[in-house]
Amino acid sequence: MDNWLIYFLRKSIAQRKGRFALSSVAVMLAVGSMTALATVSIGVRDKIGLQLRQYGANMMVTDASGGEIPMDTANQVLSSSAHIKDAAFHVYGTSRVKGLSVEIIGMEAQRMGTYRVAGRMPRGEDEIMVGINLKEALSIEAGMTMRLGDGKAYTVTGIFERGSEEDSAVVMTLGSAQRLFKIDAVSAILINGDTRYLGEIERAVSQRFPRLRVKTLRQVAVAEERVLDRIEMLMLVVSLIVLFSSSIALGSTMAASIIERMEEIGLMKALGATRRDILGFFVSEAAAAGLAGSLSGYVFGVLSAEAVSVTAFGSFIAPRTVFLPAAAIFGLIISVLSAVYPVRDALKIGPAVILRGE
Amino acid sequence: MLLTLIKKSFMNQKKPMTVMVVSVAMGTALSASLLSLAFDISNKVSKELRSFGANIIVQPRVSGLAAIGGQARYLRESDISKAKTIFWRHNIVGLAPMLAVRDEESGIAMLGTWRRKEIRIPEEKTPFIAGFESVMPWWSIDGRWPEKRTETLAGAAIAERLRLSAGDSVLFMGRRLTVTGILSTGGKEDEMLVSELDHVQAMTGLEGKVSQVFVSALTTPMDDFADRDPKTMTEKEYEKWYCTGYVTSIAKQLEDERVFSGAVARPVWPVAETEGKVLNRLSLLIYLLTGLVISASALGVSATMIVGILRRTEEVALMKAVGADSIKTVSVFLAEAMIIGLAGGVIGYALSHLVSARLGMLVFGSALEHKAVLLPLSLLVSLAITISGAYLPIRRALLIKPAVALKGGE
Repeated sequence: MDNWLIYFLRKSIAQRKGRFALSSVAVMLAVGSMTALATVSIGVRDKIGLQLRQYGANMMVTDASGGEIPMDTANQVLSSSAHIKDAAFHVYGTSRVKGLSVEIIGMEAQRMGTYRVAGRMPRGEDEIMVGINLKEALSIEAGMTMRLGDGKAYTVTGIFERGSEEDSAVVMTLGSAQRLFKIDAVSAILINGDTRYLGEIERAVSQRFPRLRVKTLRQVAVAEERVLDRIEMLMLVVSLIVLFSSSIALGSTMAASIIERMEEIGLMKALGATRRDILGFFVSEAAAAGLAGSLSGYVFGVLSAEAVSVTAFGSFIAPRTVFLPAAAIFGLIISVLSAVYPVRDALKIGPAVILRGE
Repeated sequence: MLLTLIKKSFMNQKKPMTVMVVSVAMGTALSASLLSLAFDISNKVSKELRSFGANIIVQPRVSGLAAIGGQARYLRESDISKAKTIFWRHNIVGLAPMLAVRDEESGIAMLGTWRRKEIRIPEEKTPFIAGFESVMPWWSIDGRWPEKRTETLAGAAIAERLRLSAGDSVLFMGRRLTVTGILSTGGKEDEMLVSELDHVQAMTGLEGKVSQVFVSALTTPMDDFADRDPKTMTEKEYEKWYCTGYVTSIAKQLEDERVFSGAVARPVWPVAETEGKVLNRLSLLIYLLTGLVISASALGVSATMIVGILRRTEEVALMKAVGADSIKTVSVFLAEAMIIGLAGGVIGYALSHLVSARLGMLVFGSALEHKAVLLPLSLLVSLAITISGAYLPIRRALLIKPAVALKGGE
């Protein structure tokens, strides 16, 4: 590169700090909003997926012959595939209460899922919550105690409503249920797998544990996949719209800043600069602004994406480093392109005409 | 004088003016499209979320010991169409009746339902399509839906257990039924035979009776107000609660004696509650992104405006030198900015119409609702963008000393 070019560039940027900053800021804003959107788009599947998980499990593992799954096997199942996002152990059984046979469900206290409880969920060993359909039949209120089949007295911490058959059951912690039925095993493992890899999870589990039966719960699995696909598609389309319109807006800012400098081009030409010299000069300046803007834009974009994610989902989002080179290339291309066209236009006009100010 | 100046200014600098209008139009189009998305996202996604199935189940009201075991009770099939007469009738998007019966001898259970059935709504001209297809879209049939009384589907699990496949026959309540296909649902229906409601009613002598009705309704997410017990509300509060599409108020309207008599309608909480949470989060996300993109594009467009006015420092100096006061100078530039803003705003609004229709079709299969309020909003956005973009350079221009500027210094 010629020495004069570097000298010119330095002088030009130093003397017109404000305007150089303005171009960089324009690039930064465009690149920043795109980086933010792209980052959120990539992360939205996980974030919304986490919310949809509350609909319930999308796979269920049981013993093929209808028996129980020993605890150690159950724990091994969890580690058999990396696509298993979450899993809960359940124990099912029946117990006699006031002469009636009542269904008992045991599940881990922290994974009880979505219940409407008048009172609170059971946490300790001797606590239970009772389904709303049993409330009248057993004349039970929250706060009372109830004797189950093992003769122990359990405190009723709440009456729950779920809107399914479970409303006629008693729910307790996994530990209490295992003690009640005197087993060190679980009846079912409810899995939340990545909806795109349910087939793989099924293969992995049934290959390693031929005695277990793996079932896809289609209601959740099919709907989850459908909704996640739609939302991902939505984010993709929005990102593309933003990409398109902010490139045009950015391009016009850059072009406007060149149009403003027509006289400079005329002067350079009058002083004997060649077409290539002038184009090279403006392109390098635009490239410098583009690069500076893209880099700060990437940082700005990632920060905005984090702010959006924390506000909307209460958790951070993983930034993708692949967007850094993408942002730099995009910023460079748009700023250089939007410099080339007006400069070429200006070059067509004779220096005298430009300098006269027409 | 002012008019001539502005007219000349536009005529003499077509290119920079076009660039500015384009940039304002793009910024406005983007903002208006994203706003129309933000306004409509809840509606669109809540329709998608209906693929998670019924959010209200209506069943016969039973009390005391009858809740577990005891005599089976039924709802009236004729009450189903009345669900489309409640206050929130337009929010009811799916209705699927279920009649569960059991052959005590063989222990085989059978379910009667509708696949797709046109039902007549009282005082409505167009019939409503009810059936499991719209409520349980995950049900998949390998084979065909039974049409004759002697036909049935077999659930995947029972088919495997009894080694049934399409064409085989199965004995149910002393009748020989031909299996027309295998139904996979992943739920308890996998253990049952499933057939047309009429057939099951006729077979068991339960004409006109159903045991449950699954309702799929578009609902307003639950909030603190909705969580309150309606019994503790004042009359005014109750009215507000009743007229808001909460899952609880829709359920309440369904169990009215004039709709499903002798019934209790219960929200399916995992579905109802998750739906509200997902919708709230997603709308928040779209609003935040819209805000972010609007402010970024507004600043970007302002940058274009700043550049456009900066280049006219000399012009300002000249105006001042020939005796224009601050107000005159400002009004020329402000009027220009406003013209650019309005032109860009109108073009941008028109563009956003196209964009939001396409966006809606592409993602959700139906255009986004383009609210009328978007026109004033877009004009407001575009004017705000251009005037704020013009503000800084105009202020600077006013400080210019004519002699210095005209000499070529800054």
